[in-house]
Amino acid sequence: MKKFLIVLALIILASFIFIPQVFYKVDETNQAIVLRFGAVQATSKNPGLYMKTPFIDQTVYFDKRLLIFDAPPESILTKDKKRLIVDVYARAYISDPVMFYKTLTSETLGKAQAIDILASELRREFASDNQGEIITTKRDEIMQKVESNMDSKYATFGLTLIDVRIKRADFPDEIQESVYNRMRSERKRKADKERAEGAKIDLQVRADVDKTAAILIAEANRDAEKIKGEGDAEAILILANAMEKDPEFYNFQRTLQAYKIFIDSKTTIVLPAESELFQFLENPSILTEK
Amino acid sequence: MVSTIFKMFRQEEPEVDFKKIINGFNSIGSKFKFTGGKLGSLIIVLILAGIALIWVLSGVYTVQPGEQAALKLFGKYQRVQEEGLHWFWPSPVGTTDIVRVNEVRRLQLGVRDSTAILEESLMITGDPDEAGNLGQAPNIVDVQLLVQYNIKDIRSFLYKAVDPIGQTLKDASETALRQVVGSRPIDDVLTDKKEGVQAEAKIILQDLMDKYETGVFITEVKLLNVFAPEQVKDAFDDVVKAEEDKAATINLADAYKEDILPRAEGAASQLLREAESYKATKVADATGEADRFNLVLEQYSKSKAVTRKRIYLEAMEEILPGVTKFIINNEESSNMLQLLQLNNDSNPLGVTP
Repeated sequence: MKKFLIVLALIILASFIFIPQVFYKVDETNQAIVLRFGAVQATSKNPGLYMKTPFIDQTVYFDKRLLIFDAPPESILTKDKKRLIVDVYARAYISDPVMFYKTLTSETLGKAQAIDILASELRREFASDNQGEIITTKRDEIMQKVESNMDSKYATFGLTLIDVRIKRADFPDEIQESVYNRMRSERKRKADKERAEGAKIDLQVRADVDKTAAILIAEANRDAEKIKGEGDAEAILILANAMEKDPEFYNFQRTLQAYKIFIDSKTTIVLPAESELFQFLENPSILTEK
Repeated sequence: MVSTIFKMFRQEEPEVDFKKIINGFNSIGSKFKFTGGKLGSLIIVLILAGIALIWVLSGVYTVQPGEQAALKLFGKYQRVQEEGLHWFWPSPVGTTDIVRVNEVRRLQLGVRDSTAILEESLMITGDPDEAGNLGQAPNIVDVQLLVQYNIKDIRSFLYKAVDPIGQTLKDASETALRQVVGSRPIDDVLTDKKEGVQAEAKIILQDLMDKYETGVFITEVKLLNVFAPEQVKDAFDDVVKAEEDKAATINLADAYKEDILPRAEGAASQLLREAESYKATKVADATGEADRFNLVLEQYSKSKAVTRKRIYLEAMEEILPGVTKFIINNEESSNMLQLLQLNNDSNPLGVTP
């Protein structure tokens, strides 16, 4: 019984000490190198369970996944002497863990180094680009240039570069205020333009309406005058046709009619006594029939 | 000697077969059972067996609908398990990662009222300058973004990229959004072309997420709110107001048009009707006068002298009664007229000699 317990205890102890020393596990997300007194013995890039010499060999693990190299936002001067605050990141993975270990020793150190390279490459590149290009037009192109420059540098550390991106390109605070001023003036221009366009359309519409209305009235007047003229002409024709039959009688009759209208109570008429009207007053002799 | 044996195992592919190990443990256990033969050892064996049983049972897991489980054995990916009740080696031999792959997840950028994920939601737009060069007159705009996504590839999602739906998604979303916003004028983002911005950002974001092998599928990219920055808000509001002012002015002008034109048309018709009535009246009057003249003439011509006399006298009867009359002889007439003029200068007709 005692012997059995000792054996059992030994087995348990051995398994706790030896198993981690003999076996090592490489996860899907990891890769490992095995070192013996500093010399690289093996590389395990594929996941699974591996064996090593206990106590002598040491395993160093590295991430196999795509790593984030996020440079802190940095103030840079563009070619056209404008200042921008640029925040960039790179994505790379450790493709050669041995080289990575030899050059950069640990992931933390490697990360700092990779970020330094990224930052200095960017500064160099942006110094030859204009602000507008960085913000808009050539962002992809610039990034590709940076990427190809960084590619070989990263390769010397056992890193494979996948992507470099400008996450943010912002104006520094002191420039921001002047941008706001420009935005304000642009908006004011736009607002003024809108209002002026409104006024323009307003004036145009009103002028058009006034014109149309004036033309309508004038044309109506024209047509009306013509119609009146027709009426006058027709009336003249009708009357003339009638009068032509005896102009002398018309003259006589119409003149008498006119007398009736223009001779009124205020009129004073001097009549010669010998006029035909008074023939019987002056000369009663004609009462007797001739 | 020992190291050479181990060296044999040290290859690229893992060489350790877990089944052998398990069998080994089992055979050790069975040896104790048969050689010990004592009650104490039996109890210990039973305890160990119980621990082993509990360990084995801890490998039972459930995959709910909408979930997937990725299975790893000694760190090496085995397969994906769909929904149901399953068993797999528990830790430290196996690893079971259950992920809600179909769940629609959300990432919000630059949201104010809840937690702000972006420290800065202001971004530069690529407005053109007077000459039309893009990016020369940049504006600043405040954009809040919603990204919805799920997991399309659990294996990539778990093993391929660091922090796929944290830092990686956030970085990529911000990159995509700022790239799109930076390539357009501010008015595109603020108003008319939001849809286009969203669609373009979605394409760029999905490309980035695929490039980084995150296994993430972007279902929607949506601009939640787009504002002009606080400092220039008034100026932007004024543009909106100006647009409304313009519309109002145009409406008033149209109202004027609708007021004036019908009135003018009415006035024109009135003029025409009046003229027509004038014409008709004139013609009728003339016709009447002509008819009357004709009728009178017909009778007149039958006895001219008498009728003429009668008409004349009748007219005189009508005219002369109210009129001031002077009847004079020929010889005195000139004197009389002078007298008249001197005495009665109110005479409106002013009969002159």
